[in-house]
Amino acid sequence: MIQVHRLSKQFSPGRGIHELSFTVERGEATGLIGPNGAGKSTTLRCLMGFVRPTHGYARVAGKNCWQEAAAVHRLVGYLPGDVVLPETMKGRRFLEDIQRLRGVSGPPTRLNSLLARFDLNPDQAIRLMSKGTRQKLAIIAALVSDPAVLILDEPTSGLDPLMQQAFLSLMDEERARGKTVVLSSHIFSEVARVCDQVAVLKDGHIVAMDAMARLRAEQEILFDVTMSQAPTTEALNGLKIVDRRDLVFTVAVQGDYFRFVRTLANLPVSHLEQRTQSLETLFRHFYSDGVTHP
Amino acid sequence: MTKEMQVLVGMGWRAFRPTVAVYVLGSVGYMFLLLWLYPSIVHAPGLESVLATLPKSLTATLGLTAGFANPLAYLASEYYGTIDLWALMIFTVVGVVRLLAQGPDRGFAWAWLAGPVSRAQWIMSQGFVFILGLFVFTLVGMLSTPVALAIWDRGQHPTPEILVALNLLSFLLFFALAGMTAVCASAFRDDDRALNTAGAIMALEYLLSLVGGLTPHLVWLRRLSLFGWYRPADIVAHGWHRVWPGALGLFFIGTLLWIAAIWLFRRRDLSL
Repeated sequence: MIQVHRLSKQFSPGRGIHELSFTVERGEATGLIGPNGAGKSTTLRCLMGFVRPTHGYARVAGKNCWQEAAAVHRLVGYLPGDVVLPETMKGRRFLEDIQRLRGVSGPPTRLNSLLARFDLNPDQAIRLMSKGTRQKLAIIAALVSDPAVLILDEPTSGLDPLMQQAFLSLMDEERARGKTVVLSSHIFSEVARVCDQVAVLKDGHIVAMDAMARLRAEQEILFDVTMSQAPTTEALNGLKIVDRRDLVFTVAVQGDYFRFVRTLANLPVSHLEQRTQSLETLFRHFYSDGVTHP
Repeated sequence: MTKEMQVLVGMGWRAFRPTVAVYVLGSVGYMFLLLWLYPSIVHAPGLESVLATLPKSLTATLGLTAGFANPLAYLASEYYGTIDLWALMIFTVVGVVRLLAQGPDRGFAWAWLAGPVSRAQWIMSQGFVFILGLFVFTLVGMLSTPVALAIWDRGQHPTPEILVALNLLSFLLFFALAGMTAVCASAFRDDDRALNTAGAIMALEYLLSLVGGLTPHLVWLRRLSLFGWYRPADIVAHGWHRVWPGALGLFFIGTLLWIAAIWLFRRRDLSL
């Protein structure tokens, strides 16, 4: 459904995206993850035909995203990373205009269903809406025409945890209906929930592209394990302890969760908590300075 | 026009309509005020003798060649040659930048540009909205002129040819200047920069036209300016027959500039 071949966009020297290649089959979901400035938004803008590639191409359903942008847009629902909306309009008017532009006719069943799901009152003036409400409005605008392909740049940005879950559930349903999804995020758990494959971006290059399951096995998760009493050194054998504060042990686990749980089962564990880690920490092996681009 | 373009035009016009209404009402209101003041100005002691003492080049520069002998000549210099021009200059720069540049540069046009329309269709729809606004502005000004003359009973009924020629040239002048502003809006990725640049170019064009009228030696400066094609006092004084070269020239230049703006907009990157 989507082909990206040696796609490059050069901005100032060294900045931009360089020789990106990947494909997304119909019905698949692909995540682009990487810190700010890694090139996620530029890649998605190339897919929308908003940015002219310096080299290479991107295609959606066989149509060139730059040369046949209007035809591509008929298939695609797009959410930008930085949502800006026309301040002078009301939410309902904005959504009605989007529907008319995209040729949506008939009873507004899908619109009403999306409004209910995101608990959004569209009769409010956009200038009075909070950042989260604007994000919800933009998500609805991207989905209201029921497009076959969804291109979403940091879709949960600004949403509260409840609405983040509502969005992720919606993505599960859209996937089940055969939609093709490309989304960017710097939150790994979000990408892990939605996507089949992931491209890890660094400085405009894809440093890893793999199936979600394999990538998940490669990430190093940190757990803070609190003991009720100090264990013996032998009892901790098999755990990779990266830090210790009194009875709190920070354990790094990479893939082998069975061994981790089996070892903990024999220890006086009083509390267990997964640490929130940045993308750079999760994939330190990709983001360390020594890593060269493939 | 495709169905999608009709939707874009409808949305653009809905947003632009209040601006058009404000400018039109302000401009026409000023025309009525000028005609109401006309008797006190024309009967001011010594006005004609003051005008007679001015160098011919200065009266030509100020658009006073037709004098104040009749209300239409007075309107040609004080309204069509001054206030109407200034109002249309602001209307054009602000309107074109707002319609063509603010959406893409500030980011809120993503929803429309991510729709099933090409960039050419988008910019043409926004350009059409501006030209429609300019047409309404000009048409209301043209129709108001005989109405205002009749209301204040100024005893003169301008020929339709003169009225059409005045307003047609004014429309085409700003069609061309809007094309220049559209080029700035498409070329820059910052609507403030587009506004400042287009405003500066327009002010320079106006200045060239003014200075070019001061002396025959500087008439070449006027020829460099688009404003040089539009001399309302001359149309009133000498008739409408000589306006066609100017009208065709402005139409041709304006069309070229709009084509350039579309070409530039199709090639630029959009941070949406």
